[in-house]
Order: sequence, then C-alpha cells, then structure tokens
Amino acid sequence: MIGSPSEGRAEPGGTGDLAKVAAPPARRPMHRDPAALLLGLLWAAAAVLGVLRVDGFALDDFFITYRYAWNLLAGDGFVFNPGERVFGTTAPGMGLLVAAASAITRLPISHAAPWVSGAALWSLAWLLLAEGRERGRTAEAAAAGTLIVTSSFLWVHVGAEGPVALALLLGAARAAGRRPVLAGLLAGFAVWCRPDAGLGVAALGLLLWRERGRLPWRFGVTGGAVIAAGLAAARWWFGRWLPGTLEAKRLQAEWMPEIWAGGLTFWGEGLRSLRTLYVGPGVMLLVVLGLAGLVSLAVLGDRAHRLLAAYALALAVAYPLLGVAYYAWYAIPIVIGLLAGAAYACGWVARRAYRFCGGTAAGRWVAAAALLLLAVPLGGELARRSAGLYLAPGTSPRYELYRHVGGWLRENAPAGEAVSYVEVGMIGYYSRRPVRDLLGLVTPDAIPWVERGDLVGGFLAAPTPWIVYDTALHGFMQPLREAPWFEGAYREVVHFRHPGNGEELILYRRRPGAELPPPPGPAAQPPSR
Amino acid sequence: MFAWLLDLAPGLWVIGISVALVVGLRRWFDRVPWAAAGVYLGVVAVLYGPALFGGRVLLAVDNLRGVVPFTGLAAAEPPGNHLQGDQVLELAPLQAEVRRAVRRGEWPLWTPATGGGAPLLGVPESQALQPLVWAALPLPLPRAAGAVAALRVVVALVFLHLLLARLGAAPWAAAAGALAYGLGGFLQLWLGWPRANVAAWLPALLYAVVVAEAHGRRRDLLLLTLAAAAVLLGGDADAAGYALIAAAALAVARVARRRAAERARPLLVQGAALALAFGLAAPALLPAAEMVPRTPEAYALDGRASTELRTDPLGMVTLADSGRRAAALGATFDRLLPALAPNAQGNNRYGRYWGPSNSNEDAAVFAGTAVLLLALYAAGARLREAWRRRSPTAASHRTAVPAAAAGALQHEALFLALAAVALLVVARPPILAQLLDHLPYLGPSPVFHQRVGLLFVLAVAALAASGIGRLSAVAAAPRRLVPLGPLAAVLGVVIVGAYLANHPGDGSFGWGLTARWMAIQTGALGAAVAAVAPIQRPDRRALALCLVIAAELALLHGPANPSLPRRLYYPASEPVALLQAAATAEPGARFAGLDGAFPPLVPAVYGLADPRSRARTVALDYHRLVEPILAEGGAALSFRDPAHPLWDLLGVRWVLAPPGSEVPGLRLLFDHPDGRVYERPGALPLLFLPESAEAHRADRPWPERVAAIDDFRRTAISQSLPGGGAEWRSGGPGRVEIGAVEPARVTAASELDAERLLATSIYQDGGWRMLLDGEPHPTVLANGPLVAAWLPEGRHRIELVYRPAGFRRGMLLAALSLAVLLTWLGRPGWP
Repeated sequence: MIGSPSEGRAEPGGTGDLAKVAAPPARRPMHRDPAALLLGLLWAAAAVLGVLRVDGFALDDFFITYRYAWNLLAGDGFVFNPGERVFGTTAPGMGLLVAAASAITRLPISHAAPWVSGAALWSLAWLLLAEGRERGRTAEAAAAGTLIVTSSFLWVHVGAEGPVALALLLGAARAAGRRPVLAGLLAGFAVWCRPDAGLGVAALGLLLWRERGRLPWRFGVTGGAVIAAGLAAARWWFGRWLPGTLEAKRLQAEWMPEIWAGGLTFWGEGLRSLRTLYVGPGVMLLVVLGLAGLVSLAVLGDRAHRLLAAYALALAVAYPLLGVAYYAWYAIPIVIGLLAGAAYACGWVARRAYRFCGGTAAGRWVAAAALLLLAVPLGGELARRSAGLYLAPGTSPRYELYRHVGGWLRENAPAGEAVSYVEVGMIGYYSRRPVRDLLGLVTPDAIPWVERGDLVGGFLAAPTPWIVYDTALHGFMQPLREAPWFEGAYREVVHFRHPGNGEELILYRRRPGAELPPPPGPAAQPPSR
Repeated sequence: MFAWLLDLAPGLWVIGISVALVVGLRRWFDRVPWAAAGVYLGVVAVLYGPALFGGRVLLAVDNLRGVVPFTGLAAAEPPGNHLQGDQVLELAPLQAEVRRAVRRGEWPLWTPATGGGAPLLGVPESQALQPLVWAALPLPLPRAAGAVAALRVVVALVFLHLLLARLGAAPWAAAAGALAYGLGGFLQLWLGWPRANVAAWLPALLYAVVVAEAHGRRRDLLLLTLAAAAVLLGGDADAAGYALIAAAALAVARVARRRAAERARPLLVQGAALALAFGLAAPALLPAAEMVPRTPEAYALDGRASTELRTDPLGMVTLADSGRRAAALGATFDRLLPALAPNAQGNNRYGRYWGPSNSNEDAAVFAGTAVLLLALYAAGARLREAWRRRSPTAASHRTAVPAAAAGALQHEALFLALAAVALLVVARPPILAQLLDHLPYLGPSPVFHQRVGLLFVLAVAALAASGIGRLSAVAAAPRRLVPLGPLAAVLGVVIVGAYLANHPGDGSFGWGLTARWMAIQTGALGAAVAAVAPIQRPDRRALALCLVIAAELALLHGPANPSLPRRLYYPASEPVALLQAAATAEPGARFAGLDGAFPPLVPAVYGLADPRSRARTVALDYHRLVEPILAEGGAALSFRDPAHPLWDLLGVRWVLAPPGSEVPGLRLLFDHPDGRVYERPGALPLLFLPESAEAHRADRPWPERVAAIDDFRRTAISQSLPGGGAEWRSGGPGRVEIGAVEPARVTAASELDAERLLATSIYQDGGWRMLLDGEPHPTVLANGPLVAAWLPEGRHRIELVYRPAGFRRGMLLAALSLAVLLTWLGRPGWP
C-alpha cells in the first residue's frame, strides 16, 4: 500500500504533494500488466457479484427513468405516462442506455440497469487506476478503485446515473489528449445522462485550455454539439429544454425543510445520511481526508484526477446554491471523489511516515501503522457495510410493498385507470398504469399545489380512480385520507402489510358515481406561476 | 481509644507509597530531589490533611443531606462542594461494589445493586482495575477517598517533575511546573472523578515516552506500558484519548531530533509498548466498549451529533445568522475567560455561577496566574525567536541563540502548539463544535471535548517551567523585569477588568469574594514579578516562584475539595438498618425509594439492591423497560407509581418513602422520622415461573407490550416460544426455589411437571449464561431485556453465571500481552 522505496525517492524531497512525482516511471500498458489485469478481474468479479446481489433493489426514483425506458421499448415513446410528454427524469441519457442494454440483452429494464451501473463503477475504478499508475501512485489508485467498486453506498444507489455520467467524464478526460472528438462525444453524452455533468464538461474544457494554452475547439465543438442535440431533442419532444424535476425539488425544500433539506442545510443532511447509512461516526474523517486528497489532486494531479476533483467540488457548491432538496444520489460523484481523495490522502500520510523514517525497512512498519490508524476508523465501517451488502443485501420494506402494489394494480386495475401517490417510480413501473405524482416530479400540473403545500388540492385538481396510502408516510397522505369527502368517495380495496416492520400500504378505489369537491382555492384552476 | 491511630492510617499509607515511589524512581530512573519530594508531600498534607490524618472524609457527603433518609443530618462547616454530587451519588457506590467483589476474591464483573444489575467492569466510572484505586484497597472506603486523591496528586507532581527535568528544567523550575499542574484547575477541580486518574498518570506516560526514546531500556518500556495501561484504566475514555494524543505527539517530536534512518525503531518499540498496554487494560476496556454504547447517554450523544450535523452543518447556519453568530462568539469568549480569571463568572461552590457550564467544567482550564505569566513569557520569547529565524531581512538573526541555550525547555514549541490547540478546542468556535463531535476514536463528548483542557494545563505548566529556565539565562535584573513587568501589568489589568466587567453588580453575588479572588490573582502576579526581579540566584528565584505558584493555586483551588466530618459518610439510619436486615433475609429481593428518597445507586453502599439507576450505569433497553414508571428527572432514574406491575416484575419488595407520606395499596412496615418503609407483597422473586407467554414479534415493539402486562405471574413476552408458536400456556404445576444469590452467580432448583419458562428480573447484556444440571443451557430474553430460559420438565439444578464475552476476550488479550511483555523483557541481552 505504501509504494516502493524507489517510488519514495523519486519524489521531490518532502514537498508534501499527494500526487506529483518528478519523473513518472516508465510502465507497461495496462492491458499487459498482470497486476493491473488481476486487479481489473477482481473488480469485475466484485462488480458482477454486486450486480447479482442488488438486482432489482433500485431506489424508487430510479424506476421513473426505468419507466421512461420501458415505454420507449414498448413503442409508447420516451414518456412516463403514455400520451403525456413530460420531462420528469433528470437522466434521459441513462434511460436511453438502459433501454439499449435491455434491448440488447433481452433483460427486463429493472434487471438490465444494474449491469449498466456495475459497468460504470468498474470503469471508474479502471480509469482511476490508469491515471494513478501513470503518476506512480498505483497503490492509492488501487485502494480508490476498490473502495469505489465495493462501496455499499454506490451499490445501494444501483441504477443511478451519477456513476455513469462520471465515468463518461473521466473517460473523456483520458481521451481528450489524443482523441478530442471522442472526448467531446463522451462528455456530451454525460450531460444527457445527468445535466449537472455540464459542470464537469466546463471544467474539462478549462483544464484542456489551461494545459494547451489554446481553446480545445474540437472537444468543445463536439461536446457542445452533443449537448445542443440533447437540448433540441428535449425541446422538440417534451417542449422544454430541461427536466421539470428541478423546480419540483426546489419546492420540496421550501415546503418541508425539516424533511427535505436544501440551501445551507443541504450538505448537513448529506453528512447525516452518509453517517447513518454509510460511513458511521467516521464521516468527518472521510470528509477531511477526502477533501484534502481532492484539493491536492485538483492542484497537482493529472487531467482525470483534476476533473474528478473539480467536478466533485463544483457539485458540492452548486447543489446548495440551486436550492433543491437533498437526495442521497446527488452525493454520488462527491462520494466517489471523497473515496478517491481519502485513498490518496492516506497514501500521502503513509509515504510521509516512510520518508520521515528515512526509507528504512522499519520505516515501512511505521508507515503501515500510520495507515492503519487512519484506515481503521474509516475503513472498518465501510468494510462492514460492504460485507453486509454482499452477504445479506436487502431493500426497504416499503419498496417491497410498492412492488406488490404495482403487481396487484397491473393484474386487477382496468387498463388506463390512474393511481395517485407521492412516490411513483416503482408503482408506475410495475403497474403499467398511468400515475399522478402528487409531488409533481412527473406531473407538472401538481407543482403549483406543492408550492402551496396542498397535496389534497393537487389531488382534487385531477382526481384518479386509485389512491395509494402508506402508514409510514402518513405525514403526506393523511390530509387526503382525513378530508371530509374521502370516506364517501373512496373505499379500501386491498391492504398490504410488511411482515418485517409492520408497514402498511392501502389501496383505495373511488366509489362508483362518487362526487368530489373542486380543488380548494380562489379558483378551481391551479394557481399560475 | 486508638481511633486517632486509624485516622492517621490514610496519611501514613500515602506517605509510604509516595516514599516508595520516589525511592524506586531514584533507584531505577531519575532522581527526584528529596527537597522537592518533601514540598510535594507537604502541599498534599496541607490540602488534604484533615482527610489523611484527621479522620475526615474527602467526599462531598453532605450532598446526601436533605434527602430521605438523611434529612436529620446536621450541616458541616465549611460545607461540602455541591458540584461534587457525582462522587457521592455515583462514584463512591460503584467503588463500594468493586471493593465488595474484590474482598470476596472475585472479579468485579457485575453489580446487582442498580437497575436489573449492571456490568461493573463495563461502567468505566467504577474504575474497577485502576492501580491508584487498588493502591488504597487496604483502607476502608471513607479513608481511601482521601488517600486516592492524595496519591493522584503525588503521582502527577513527581512524574511531571521528572519529565520537566528530563526536558532540561532545573530542579526548582521543574518543581514549579509540577506544582502548576498538580495544583492546577484540572486535577484539583476533577480530583474525585475518574478523569483525575488520567491527569495523574499523564505525566508518567510522557516521562516514559521520553526515557524510552532516550534509552530504550527494558524498565523504560515497562514503565511506558504500565503508565499507558494506567491511563487507559483511568475510567475516562475521552481524557485517556487526549493523553495518548499528547504522548504520540511527544514521541514523534522526540524521534524527529534523530537522524531519519534512526527514527523508525523507537517509534515501533513505543508503539508495541502501547499495544501491550491496550492488551493489559483489555479486561476493562472491552466490557466498557460493549456497555457504553448501550447507555442512554451514548444514544443521546449520537443523536446530538447526527441532529446538529443535519440542522447546522459545520456551524454554517450559525455563521449565516447574525444573532446566532454573535451568541456563539460570545459563548466562545466566555469559555476562554476562565483560563485567565477562573471565578470572573462566579463559582458554584459559593452559590452562583453565570458562565457557560459550571465552575468545575469551565475553570478546569486554569493553571494559575503566575504560571500563565511565565508561560506567556516563554511563548513570547519562543515566537520572537522563530520570527527572527525566519525573517529574510535580518540575516544576523538567523544565528540567534538556540532555544535550549536560552534556558528553554526541550519541545517548547510542542507545548506551545498543544496549549494553542487545546485552548481552541475549549473555546469551541462554531465550526469546530461540530467537527469535535465526529472525531475518529474519540467520538462525540458530552462537553464537546472541553476537558482537553487537561492538555492545556499540562502545556502551560511546562511552558512556565520553560519560562523560569529562560529567566535564569538572563543575568541582569532589569532585563528580566522589562518583559515580565509590563506583561504582568497587562495581565493584571485584564484580569481585574474581567472580574469587574462580568460581576452581576445586582447584589446577587458578593463583592467580597470577587475582591478576594482578584487580590489572590493580582497578588500572585505581583509576587511573581517581585520574585523574579531582585533574586539573583536562579535556583532561589525558581524556589520563590514555586512558593508563589503553590500559594496561589492552594488558595484558589483548596476550597474545592473540603474534607467533611466522618459522621456524614453514608450514615445508617433506622429505616436503612431495617431494609438491610430484610434484604439479608430475602436474597434477591429489591427495594426502591419513592419521591426522590434514597437516590439511586446510593443504596449500593449499604448492600441494598435497587432497580433504579443512573444514566451512565444503565442500558437503554432497561431504560425502555422501566420508562412507564420513570419519574421526571435528570441523570437519575427515579420511579413513580408503586402500584404498577413493573414494580412487581422488578422484585421491589420494599419502598422507602418520605416521612409522613402515604402510599396507597402498600403495607406500612416501619414509620420513622427519617422515612417510612412500605412493603410490597406482590413483588416477584428474582426467578419465577410465568403461567403463560406470548412470542415477541418483530413488528411490535416490546416496550409497549411489556408495559401492557398487568400481572407478570400470569404472562410474559418471550423472545421465542417452544415450537415457534405465538402463545404458550403452562401445561402443569412447577416451582423454582432460589438458592444462592451472588452478584455474578445465582443458583436455584426447579421441579416442573411440564416445560416452563423461567423468567427473571436480571438484565441480560449478553453475558449471562445458564447451566442446567451443570450443562450449558440456552437462555432467551423475556419481558424485554431480562434473562429467561425454557426449562424442561423434571427436577433440575439451575445456575445462572455472568461471564461477559468482552471480559473473557479481555482476559485472553491481557494474558497474551503479559506473556509477550515478560518474554520481551526477559530476552537476554536486549536491548
């Protein structure tokens, strides 16, 4: 882990840099290096195992994109609800990729998507290894790659577009030297996968400009053309340039800041959720080490390292400024950056300790001890969580219930009858029925009601025959069920109860001929914005 | 007749151990001058003399006054320090339990005296394996309290003297530093708490680091291992962490002076010694690592860390809001103030404190005014030299006199950095407050690591010794006076200003005390300057400064630890005597106080088992179990509603209530002006056989279900049922007869016509095992976190034994470490 003595001596004496070496040693190409190939194989095995373990476990929001992909393959076009051209996914590129993967492999969308994620994680690790080897930091790169490929946080977000977009960006950074057109294509498609990758494209453009002292016009023109094509396509198909989810998530942060943190508390919620779900009490150690490593990579690393650092840091600043509510998958590129940064920072500490001890054999033990002291509080919890993922993967009881509800609706609800709820991905995907999203992600006409904090009004604006009610989310749905008209207008049809935590989902159906009041407010129409 | 001889015992014991320590150190390590040792013993005798030689008690036992059954106790004059309530309400009872176990020849594994029982080794505050506590085991607890306190101070004084002398301080300069630390705020204000163990051993640890690096002899490494183990066994994980950080910093600073190729070996050897220390301390550390995270306090801290992170990440919300920012910065300043003027915001000891926390917590960072003056002098000189060396414009300054040649202590810069970092942590500006909650290894602390003030006091004491050394290098009196005089004047003005500016001025706090404190502090400044200016011989000057430092700190901190009359030490009133007799006749039966009577854990001193507890000695599971009967309160878990079935489950046979109070439904057993004893006939024995049971369900939290049971004789909630069903009903009669009830072992005999559930009111932390007819038998949980087991029909011998996994692993590690240590030390010709 700590590099060879010759690597240590190759560095400018004690300058304190994390990544720079005076003269990168000549190395065999990656595909001819048995150690690199072995590592690549191990990562591939870990990724395949990860895919098999989390198959079908994606978070609800990702099923929104899956439903777009499913409808595309079904011939209904790239839409969430057939016939409604609503730009309700932030990951159209991911949707297209997943659709393509499904079409090629004949796997269902929800089973094809994990393979795309696994491939993205492996690619990230491989790209970082390539970059690290060239800079004489193979051990750090190997550690970073291993942390990424085995990260339970990233596998929990299987199906997310973040790793794909980041892998495309890093690939672009690696390719930009000799193949600027390919780099532009990759970078442009990264923006299709996730619009905020635009920050990464801009950062890569600036890096190339700074490296060469002239405008990287081939990269810029190609990347710009791909992005422009995406925007034009979105405008043509959906009637808008960008996804409508941005506005919906901003409104969420304004409506219930205690649940949906935004602004100054955006990363507070991020740190809290990382602490609870991933890193444990050592979260600050990850942040401090990761930031130290990232800053150093940004200053002294090679292009892909710098891009990783710049992109992660830019996102860290941008999200609070955007005012959107925190969702854990926003943190994916930043977590990847922190993991890589922490690996490099640990490597720096170990190398410093080794040099401090004069590069002697005993100095290796001191370096190993220093590394251990840093790695134990951080790596222990990460390893435990990763082991938990591989040994006993599981999904949220609620998601299991959503799957059952979706399946039940598909078998029992008449085609074309819509269902209303606040988490619409899985229910929509599995039910194949139109879904009205009371939080407005895929239902733009609900957004004005979200702005008012009035889910009942949003429902009454376009009532559906079916309603899903979740006992664990009663804070959202309770006003609807407690509305005076509800009892007379809807009846309970089926009741799903999770045997583990007792969470219950109830499906209500509108009584035949039941009258509903108009939506509250000064006018029956939703307020215009 | 010979009571006065017994009264002398603690003092003679302390003197004996101290002399043995000094002799041993002189023989195998460095020489502590007998004169300095005499001064140290003299100071200890002055401060704690009444407890060491006069038969008084160095425990704030008058905190018991006013509480049933101690309402009749007359006040002591001077009164005890009510800030030291923990000592009497928590620490001494735990000590009593440890002593009981040791006297029985057992490991102090379990105490049945609190809650449903609690792991003694798992509660760090019990200090169950702390060498200083064990050193006083031959003395009875009331006499041992003073002896342990005195030993803490002596060990701190002696080892800091040796450390400073090793780092280049002259004998009396070292003594001045030692006195500053030993009589400083941290050790004196926390003297009765476990963290004082760490404060006592910290100088020994640092001294061991220095000698181990310098010589690497076997005895040096042995000292390092033992000192580190003593620090780890101190009973305060936070303070031990700070001590280890300081030791690591010093170790690195020491080896940094060597050639690069020679650095690794001493670091590795010292690291190995530290690892062995962890191994030796493992029998206490591992059970604590299992228990502490289960306490409500740990959960609350974890919740705080998580919530703060969510609502105010890195203080950004505070910094963005002008009102909150101003308040946070004001609090930061208030936390710093006691380092300069410890009583500027009052003192709880004298009735009122208006600082951020309490005067113990905040003023523990105070090391003395004269000490501060000398430390500032050393720091100024150091910074000036550093600036001169780095100034590119003053080439001539690059050849400035090296620090050591100017009389400064080695590693002066390290102590300066330690002081600065520690002070920053104590000040806790907004961003730092949250970072501190997420430190690796240390984790969230109830006081945001404010007790790192320990390192501040140590560093300032060392800097003061360095300052004296620097002064000795200045021959001309005016040259000594020029920097010191104005510095003292500024300090004096700031201190007086702090007292005047912070005084409420509304008559709620007397000016007399304020004037006295101002006089002591400014007087110390004046005396220090007066000692420095005219006295030409450096050793006499240092001696004079020693006296100034000792006098100031004794005057300021002496009142914090008053000795109290022996009559106040847990007196046995008649109701208590009755309860003791009843408990002896009915093993396993418990008693509880009502309406604040007989605070939880205190009955442990009398050998009474009490299901109430305190937040640090109880697990959250047990807290959830008794939640329906918990009264409002802070650290103590007091009970209400004695008719509640949970009282039956917990086997509460007797209730002590305030005199004259009526407890409906209970039989009055004894009426006395000190309290009324009621009997609860419905109390269940420690082991019993419920008639039916329901299975625990993952989707239904057990606390609600247990709370809903109205008769625990009839029903229990069991973790599992025979055959995996949802309900079970007894198929025939049976009985269980309790035999021996020992803290970590309970025996019984059962005679059953059919399979039955054996339920208990013993808290299962995972360490209780059952032997049925001598063979291991599986246990389950019933009624929440209580031990239970399914017993087969027929006659059986039952033995419940407490053997926690952490202790077993710890003993294994300790044995392994001891073996390695002995092999290491016994290796011929090494090093």
